[in-house]
Amino acid sequence: MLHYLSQYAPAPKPTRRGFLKLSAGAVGGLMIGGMMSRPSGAAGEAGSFATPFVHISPDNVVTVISKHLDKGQGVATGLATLVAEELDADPAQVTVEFAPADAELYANTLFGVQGTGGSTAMANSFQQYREAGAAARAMLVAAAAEAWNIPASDVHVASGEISGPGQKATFGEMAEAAAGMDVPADLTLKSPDQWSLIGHDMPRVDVPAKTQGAVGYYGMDVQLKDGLVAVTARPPCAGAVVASVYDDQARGMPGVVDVLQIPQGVAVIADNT
Amino acid sequence: MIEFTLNGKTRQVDVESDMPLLWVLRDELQMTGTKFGCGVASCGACTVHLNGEPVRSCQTYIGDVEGLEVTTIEGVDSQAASAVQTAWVELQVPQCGYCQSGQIMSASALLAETPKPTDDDIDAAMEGNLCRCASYVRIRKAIHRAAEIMEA
Repeated sequence: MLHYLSQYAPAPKPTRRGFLKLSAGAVGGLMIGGMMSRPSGAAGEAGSFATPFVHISPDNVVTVISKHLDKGQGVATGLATLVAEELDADPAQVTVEFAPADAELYANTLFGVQGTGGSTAMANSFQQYREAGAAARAMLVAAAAEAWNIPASDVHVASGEISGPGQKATFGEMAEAAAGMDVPADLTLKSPDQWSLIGHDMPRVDVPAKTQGAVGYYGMDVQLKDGLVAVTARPPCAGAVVASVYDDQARGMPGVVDVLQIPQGVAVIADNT
Repeated sequence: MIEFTLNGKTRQVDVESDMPLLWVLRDELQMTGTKFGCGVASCGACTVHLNGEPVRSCQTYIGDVEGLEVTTIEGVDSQAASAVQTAWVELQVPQCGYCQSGQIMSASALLAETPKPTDDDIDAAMEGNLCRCASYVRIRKAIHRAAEIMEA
């Protein structure tokens, strides 16, 4: 569970109840084509705006889909910040989910495959995620302009609020209409002197959960129904091969399902750890 | 059937009495906030409180827990623990976070007993909790900060 971006430092005190939980595999809504092709697999949720990198729900939550894994190096927060900046979102409405496997949509543009490492995450995402935020902003603006019958240049966006002469709306309220807008062909990104979030110390979205047990955050904590566990006994020297295995005792232990010779040694498969 | 109190509630588990508490928590009760790091009491990731005292749950047999109070990261609720968690967020202590459940349980126990620990007190209490990300500098700072929060 990832917390929200916040522009307030120090970060707010964690509560026993934990943080606002977003529905897993959240929003889908209307998908758009163009430079952002359809997210794979997502089911539609009425009233949402959804692109591969930015989802906006009717209840005004902005979810940034992080194509990189965060191991404590802060990339989830970094990517969310890029989007929040160009989207002109309120950091307190922005959270992060990790992308599903989809090498086409979520490739590391420096690697060519979907992957995190080599200090490439922010470098390969910097332009891409800012564009994703800027495009979403442009579509919200277009939707408001149409709804309010005013030119797009009269629509302003700041801290999660869209406004025009005598009108205002949240991102959530405009999300569905924005999903129906064309993806802009040209985008204007902010210049560095306009940044209020990028370049600033943003409290990390994963820190609060990590002070409360980070339940379900690690592969080690995933427990699949009817899943089996395998542990490998490895040889004492590199290159050694299995000569023989005496496995009667192991097989006789409760829960052990199988004992297998593998190139790396001997694996014991059981129904618990 | 072994009965004990877990985070304030009575629990019963039907396992061999020599099953370590860590396995009972994670496998039997699906409470994965407490982490497996080494299984041999050398890393501290499995630290929980037993009647308020920090113990390595990987080396604590469930049979020895009968009738006692176990507190895990999911349920720790003391003034010390709240101060620790607040300081941890304020100072952005965790990186990958895997060791942090154990760190927080050890730190909470330290502060409950020694509200204004010296650096030597912190060394002694925390040296069994390893952090591969080396967040040690922030851990130490956050323990001092938690002491300040508790004093306020």
